[in-house]
Amino acid sequence: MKKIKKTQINQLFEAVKNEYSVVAPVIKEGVISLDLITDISQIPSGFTEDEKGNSYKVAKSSDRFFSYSRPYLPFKRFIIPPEFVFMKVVKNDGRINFTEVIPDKKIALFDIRPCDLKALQILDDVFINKNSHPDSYYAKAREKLFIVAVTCFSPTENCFCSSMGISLKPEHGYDILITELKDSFLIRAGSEKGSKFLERIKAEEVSQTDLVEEEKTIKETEKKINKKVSTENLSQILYSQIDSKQWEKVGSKCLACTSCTQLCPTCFCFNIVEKNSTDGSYSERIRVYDSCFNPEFATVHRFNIRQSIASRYRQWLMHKFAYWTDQFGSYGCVGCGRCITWCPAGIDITEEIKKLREGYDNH
Amino acid sequence: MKIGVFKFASCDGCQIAFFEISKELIKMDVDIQYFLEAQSENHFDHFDVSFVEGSISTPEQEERIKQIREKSKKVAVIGACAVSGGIQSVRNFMDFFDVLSSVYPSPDYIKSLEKSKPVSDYIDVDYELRGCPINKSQLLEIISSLYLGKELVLPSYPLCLECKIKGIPCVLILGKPCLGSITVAGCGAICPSFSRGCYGCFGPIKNPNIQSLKEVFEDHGFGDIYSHILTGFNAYNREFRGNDEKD
Repeated sequence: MKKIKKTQINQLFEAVKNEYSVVAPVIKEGVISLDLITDISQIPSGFTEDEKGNSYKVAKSSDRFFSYSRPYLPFKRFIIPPEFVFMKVVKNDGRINFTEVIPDKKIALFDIRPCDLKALQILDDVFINKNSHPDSYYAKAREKLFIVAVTCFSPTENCFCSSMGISLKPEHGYDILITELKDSFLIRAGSEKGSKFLERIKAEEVSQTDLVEEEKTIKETEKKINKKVSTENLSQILYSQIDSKQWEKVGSKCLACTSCTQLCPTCFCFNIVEKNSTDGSYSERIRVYDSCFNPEFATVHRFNIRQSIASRYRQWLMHKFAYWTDQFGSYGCVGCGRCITWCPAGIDITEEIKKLREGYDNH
Repeated sequence: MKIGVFKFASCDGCQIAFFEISKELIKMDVDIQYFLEAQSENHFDHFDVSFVEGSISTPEQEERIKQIREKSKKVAVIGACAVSGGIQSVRNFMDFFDVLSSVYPSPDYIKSLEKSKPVSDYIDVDYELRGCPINKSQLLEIISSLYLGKELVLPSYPLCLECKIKGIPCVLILGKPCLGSITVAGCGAICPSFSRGCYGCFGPIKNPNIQSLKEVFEDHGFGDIYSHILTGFNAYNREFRGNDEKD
């Protein structure tokens, strides 16, 4: 662990940029978004989000460097893009040749918060570690990732990460972890790759006072996370509520717009479509994000088994908090609250879980 | 592959897409038998696929569309007029004779049906291309699918998914009225990509949650705009026309 002056963050950024394309939060179209950046000044320092229910505002109101919360877009987009060609097929002299497209970009995720870091570990389980047919594209892209995590001191009103067992200062899963103190940054390496970067930066020793300040800020920030989900026995309780009337109620409100699934950092469903040249000599196989709210999603042999919006909402919530635990041994939710902020209909998943739990308690 | 392109009550705009994909059409060796806007020599004989722009608005059109169906293996309707009845179907919700006499000084000369209806109200339709106007890539997708004998891929999901794929922040959450959640995708999210709300020119998804979005508009304090934007290009779509009008 080391300590650097606030002005030295640029050195760290430049060192990372020399080896990687850097993806980081930016302010774009009036929201804290995500994009490739080339200069540390593109980070939206000083801005904070005001998220109440499904309203969203950004204002400049802080003198901290990492003043904002997680970006509205999840990092998964820069590992598995929303839409990309993963195979090219060429017909030549009667033969058909398939070429796999392999991701070649070395990407650094700069300023990834504990919720999104946990989401990345969940996706690793889904696509690689707990998958008997590992996803080769994901695995290749993942190998090339460099991860700069940041201890989160700016939760929004919709964040409920602590309920999902996530600490504001992550313990592992990063190459470098930055914690912002009042006058300095604490920097920890979480991997050999990370250590090498730190060696290059002139740094000071960390004092006991710094660690006390860090601990104190974490404690204070924890108190700001007011939204909660009780996870005690949750998947069992949800299974018991599979025929609850609550699904119809939320189904009448839900627009099935797919926003929650698209902004969720762990939702991974995709579809495969084929685009052909009109002479039939060439085609591209394209992997594109899909959603369980897509009306065609559960169409099997032309029969759609989830025609009602209620059944699609149930699938989504049950997957996150019940089926996921059966399949992967963890919840599929990290409590980032994006699905609450960006739901046009104003549905709050924590409230839905509360109502289902009440249904269980009342019987 | 023999193609016919026909026009009914409409602005001719959707047919422009054929010119935009003309280079691809030449490569595919399609035989355009009938297309009044593009050529002077036309044959009304037999079509592998007929593309129909426009709504059915006059007694002659009602007869003509039936003839086209008889001569065509497949019929594709193109654009909001053919799919839903078009902007002219706004008259369907008013008194026909009031409308007629407010437009024409001598309404006796006008032979018109009381309602402007989608093509599918008169004949069976095989494919629907949404939009005002249609998206040229989707037109090419239909033609090349038929030509190559491959499965046709057109979205049935709402525009919101297209916005999210493109990384466009939700304009409705940011305070603008937007019909994206009940409108079918396929346009390329043109309006939201310019920070404008979708006004639904691609028409409704299947079973849109019209009531819930109405309440969302009310919560945002958008006033009575909801009923106004629904009474547009796709006003007479089956999903919108109202229970008493479903048939």
